[in-house]
Amino acid sequence: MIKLYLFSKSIHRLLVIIISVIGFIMSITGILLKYTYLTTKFSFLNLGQIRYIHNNLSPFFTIVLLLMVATGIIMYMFPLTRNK
Amino acid sequence: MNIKKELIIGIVGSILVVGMTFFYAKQYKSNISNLSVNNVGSGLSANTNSSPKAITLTTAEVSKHSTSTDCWFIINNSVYQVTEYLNAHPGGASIMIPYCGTDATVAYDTKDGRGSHSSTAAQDLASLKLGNLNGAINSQTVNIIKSPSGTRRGGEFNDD
Repeated sequence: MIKLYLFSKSIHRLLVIIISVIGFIMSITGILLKYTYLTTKFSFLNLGQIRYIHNNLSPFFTIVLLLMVATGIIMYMFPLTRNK
Repeated sequence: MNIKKELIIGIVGSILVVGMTFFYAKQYKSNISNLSVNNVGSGLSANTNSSPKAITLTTAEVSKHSTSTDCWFIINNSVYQVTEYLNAHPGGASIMIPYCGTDATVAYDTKDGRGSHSSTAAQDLASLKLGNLNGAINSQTVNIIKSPSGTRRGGEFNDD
């Protein structure tokens, strides 16, 4: 059980770095998609391209988030089981 | 796994994500340029005339506008000019392009078999309406709809 906890902790820690990068890109593209007037102000921004990036990165974001949730639950539950 | 290893794997993963972002950005550009190459010499028959001309919105007329650079749809017996909207479509242009020049009623109503469109999408669609099927319109109407400023929201579309 302690091995699973330590493994979850390692996975969770490395996934934090990855999700912060994906999350940053996703939030920037998401804001640009939500507030489209920003793209009209900056002509180099292509709304279609932004949407394409946002759309294609979202599955990876979901997978990483799911793994983080799973490892997070293990990390949360482990000390509770030990106390009992 | 020690912290150093985790950090290295995390950084490698992050670099991979950034690389993927650039890859998708490049892939999108190549997809769009491929579409443009494939559609050279296509329609725009109504748009090239400077003097106003009457156009009857028949299915034959709509079928002339079947490319990504000139895309018309029939939805529920109404004709829509969606060329400018293709790039703004939340599901991407590629999902709409196959329906250019055709009756896309079923595809629109069922969201291509994945549900239904929102009321915002219906509003966006209404702003792109050319006229009713078999009705007559002026070629200038096509130009107004084609220009982003001719749309209800000044060319800005919602993403819902």
